[in-house]
Amino acid sequence: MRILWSFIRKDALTFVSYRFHMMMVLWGMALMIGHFFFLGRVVGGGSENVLANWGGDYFPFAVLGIAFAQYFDFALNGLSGQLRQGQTLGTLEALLVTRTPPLLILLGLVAFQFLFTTAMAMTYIASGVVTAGLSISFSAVALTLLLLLFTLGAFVGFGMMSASFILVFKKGEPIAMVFQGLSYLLSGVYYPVSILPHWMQGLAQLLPLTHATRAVRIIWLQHGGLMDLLPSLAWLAAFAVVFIPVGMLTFRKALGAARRQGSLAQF
Amino acid sequence: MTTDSVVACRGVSKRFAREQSLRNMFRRRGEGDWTHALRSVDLLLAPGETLGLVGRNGAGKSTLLKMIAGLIEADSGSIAIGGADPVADPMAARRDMGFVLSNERSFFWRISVEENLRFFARLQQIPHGDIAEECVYLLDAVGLANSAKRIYKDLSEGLRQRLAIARGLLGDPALLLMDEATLHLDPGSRTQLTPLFRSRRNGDPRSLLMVSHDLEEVQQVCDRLVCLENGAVWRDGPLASEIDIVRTHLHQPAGGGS
Repeated sequence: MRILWSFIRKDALTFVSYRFHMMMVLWGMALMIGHFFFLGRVVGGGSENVLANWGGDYFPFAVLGIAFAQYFDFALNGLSGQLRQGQTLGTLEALLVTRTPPLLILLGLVAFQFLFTTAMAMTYIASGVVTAGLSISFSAVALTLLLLLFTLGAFVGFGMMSASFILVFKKGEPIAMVFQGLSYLLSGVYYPVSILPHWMQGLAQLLPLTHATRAVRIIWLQHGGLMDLLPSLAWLAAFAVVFIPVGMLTFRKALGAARRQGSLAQF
Repeated sequence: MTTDSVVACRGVSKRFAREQSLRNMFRRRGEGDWTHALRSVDLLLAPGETLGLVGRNGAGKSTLLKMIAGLIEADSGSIAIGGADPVADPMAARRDMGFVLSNERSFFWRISVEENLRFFARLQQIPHGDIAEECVYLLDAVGLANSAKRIYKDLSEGLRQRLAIARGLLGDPALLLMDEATLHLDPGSRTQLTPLFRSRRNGDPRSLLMVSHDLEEVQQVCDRLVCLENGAVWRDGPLASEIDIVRTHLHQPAGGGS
């Protein structure tokens, strides 16, 4: 735990040292919330039928989708981005020759980013609470945390595959690019999956983000309980069971290949 | 000496694939598509021995050091650090090992000298209660006590190098690997720091494997000299008997024979 805390402290100090960047990140998030707030007013009337299952109001629908899409972005790009940064900045080699196990180093690399993502997701959900009357309850928070666990499990395998690519090929990572584009198109982050053509709806079921966004809306917009979440959780668990071992195996192979090529710290 | 060796490299070979042109991308690699970095290198380092590893550019010095540190895997042969394979069992191999990198980019530029050292102290598994004392001791030992609060990016190259040395000495390792570690230091600083490289804090001799281009520095610090040439060990022996031969050799143009 202390090692993870050291990574978090180091990254937090680095983050706040770029004051202008920090302000721009916060500004960008505020703009995003404002953007969807007013977009919700414009499309509110016309979208009521489409969003009838989700309370009829576009703004909370969108911010809940965006909040969980943050975790998707984090899981997919967090580790690969940090590895790439470690390669280009030159710190990766120095970390890997320490007496800390590589797995702990990988967790440390993304620890601050995870907390930052959580802060962003909470801000998005809070904006829904404040402006659209989403009600906070103990069960909603507890179920969201449970869902987060399953969601990260479903996403992390893809993130490890993406990081594996960066370790070996350094740049031009295709997994995140393709997977992210498809997920944002089909998974119902900005609009319900139900408005897609049938065949696209079928395809959307094969993407974990679809089940994560559906589940978070069941919790917050339909006040659903654990039983209502079970189908989504089952899908997310299935993704985790298949892709975590694949991701770990790929990463181990990639690490071995980079060691053999002598290219761990190259970029 | 074999069973007691701190570092034991036996028949270590390594070759790297050269970048292929687009035209040859799908052609099977031939012998000419590989660079042989190391060719069947045997190297044993006894406890307390200080070894200078020298050679021309591209002779394989840094590659060998990185292989000993577990950052690069050998194609053939074996490496053992205190009996442990640095790739298969890196934690055991690094249990009592420090590594001084010459890369000044291997620190975090936006945080202070002290924060950097504390961070790496944690990763080197220094007990929580000892970290503050350890960092104060090392910053003082390398002459950075007055720069502890300075942001790393504001340091000169020489001061950054001192911090890299302090990092390598975290936990007072029995084995210290150094890659061009005193490159940016003035001669006075090198003299000041030499005892730190050679001796542990309790006065016991430290095992040292130092890669350097600077024979004066090697002469100042090491007892034994190994010279690599085209990835193979060309000379290996006591410093006193080898230094003049190696100096003459290295002062000749590359490919000039020996």
